Amino acid sequence: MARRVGSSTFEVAGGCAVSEQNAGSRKPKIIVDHLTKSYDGHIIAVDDINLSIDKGEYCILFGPSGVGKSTLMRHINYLIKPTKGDIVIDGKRLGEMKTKELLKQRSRIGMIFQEFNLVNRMSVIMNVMCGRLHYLNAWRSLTFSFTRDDHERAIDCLRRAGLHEEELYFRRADTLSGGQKQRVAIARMLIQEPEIILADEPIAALDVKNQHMILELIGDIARRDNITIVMTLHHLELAKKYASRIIGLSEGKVAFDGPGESLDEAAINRVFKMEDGKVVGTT
Amino acid sequence: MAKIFDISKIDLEGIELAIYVRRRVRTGYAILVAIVLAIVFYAAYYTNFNLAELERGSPHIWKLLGRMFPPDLEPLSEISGPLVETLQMALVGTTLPIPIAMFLAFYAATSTRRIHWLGNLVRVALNTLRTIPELLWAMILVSAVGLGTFPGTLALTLHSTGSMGKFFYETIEAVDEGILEAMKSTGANRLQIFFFGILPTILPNIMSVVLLYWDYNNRSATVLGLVGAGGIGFILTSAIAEFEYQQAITVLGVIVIILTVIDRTSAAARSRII
Repeated sequence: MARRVGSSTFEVAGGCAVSEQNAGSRKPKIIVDHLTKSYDGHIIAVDDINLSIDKGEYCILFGPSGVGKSTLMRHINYLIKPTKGDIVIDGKRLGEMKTKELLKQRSRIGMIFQEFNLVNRMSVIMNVMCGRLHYLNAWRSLTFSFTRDDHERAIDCLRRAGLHEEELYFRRADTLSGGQKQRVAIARMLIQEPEIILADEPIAALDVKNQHMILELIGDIARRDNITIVMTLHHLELAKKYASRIIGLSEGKVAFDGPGESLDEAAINRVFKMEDGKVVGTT
Repeated sequence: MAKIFDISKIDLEGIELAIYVRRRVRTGYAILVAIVLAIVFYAAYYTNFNLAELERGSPHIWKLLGRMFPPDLEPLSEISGPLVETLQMALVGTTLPIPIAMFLAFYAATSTRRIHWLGNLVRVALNTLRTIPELLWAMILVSAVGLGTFPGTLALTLHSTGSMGKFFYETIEAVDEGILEAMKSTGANRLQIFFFGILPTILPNIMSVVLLYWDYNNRSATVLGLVGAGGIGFILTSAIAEFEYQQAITVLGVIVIILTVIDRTSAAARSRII
């Protein structure tokens, strides 16, 4: 029963997405418009970046650490507000939104993290249902009471994220393994019925086997519901394998932008500002 | 920790360098201990702390102790009322500050506050509440609202609000930024982030601190009677004022027993939480 209710909701969501695309509107999903972020007025993390990302693209932001990948990504759901420029999603500028609109926009952008960021002392299913907080009224928030529908959606999402043992759902989040935790985080993101997925080094804390499993899982989900992905990743091989588009950043600017196949040695050197052809940190 | 001295400027290598650094550190500690001892001795001299004086006075101390025995059990009949009163004051004075301190901490913690100056204002307020000891609060409040348990409870509430508030906002600030970010990214509002992200994370710390302050407030409540703010302290003070030392020792004994029981209970409960 639970499964049927949950999955039908997702089919509706998926259906909508497809019909939108069929309408032939070639509008980009995300536009990064002259985005600049500086700290203390002089340290520039993101330097006048312009990007246009279409619906359903699997974008990987690639480059050495400290180059502004995470900062750029966090602008897309306005966890970080730009110093100059703006983010435009579906034609709407985030900078012009009121708090309420911004929260609504955020509720449709799922996000996963390197360290999973689950609430350790809460049960797995509660963690997943936190993805529905935007729809939870004040009284229910104060009494920690999610609806029956939220529970059904949570179980459905946990299954979609590959967690089938129901015994796990009521365990505390910190009792799970790394791979399981990331699956819970993915379920929390799925329950948001996201149009965009942001992923901040989602596999850096996982072993090799789990790395592939998680990236494949994210890819499958995104393909099925035509979700746009923006992911930061420092694994070159994995980026090439999974991404439909790689955006290489260097010192806060775009140094490469194109499909994985065209990311040749010259481009890599440009991203990493290397001259002897040796690339560090691209295992 | 700041760098004490710059290793790169020392013209030594390997084991020689290690020994040299070790010696420098040891000398540093020796100087530090010497300075602290000098200050302590100066303080003792200045405050006329004198062991000889203590010895000269010891017969009087023994005499006083002698006058306390055998204990007069008479106060036991009238002690139960004020004793329960004391425990009740401590209970209310510990429970009432929890929501107030939590509310204020939400505005004071850097990770949850939205208005910078308001947060600083709340911090100053909490600091003031905490700095003034509850006995002083009780004195002020007795002159404001009159004798009795009400100013006593209020004094405990004010002091505990300040102390708990400071602890709460520090605990909130220690919550992993990533959890807040994850909550925020789902479109949750500030209240929801607090209830679902922060509260479950800090709950054990909060319970531990509340128990600690319950224990502490029980001890404080016993002396509030000294300034007329209700509780068992009043009986103790009047017994001493009337030179009824045999009664005083009985009251003191009861206080020690009750406080020991509370101390053990609080400690046992806290060890289970952590």
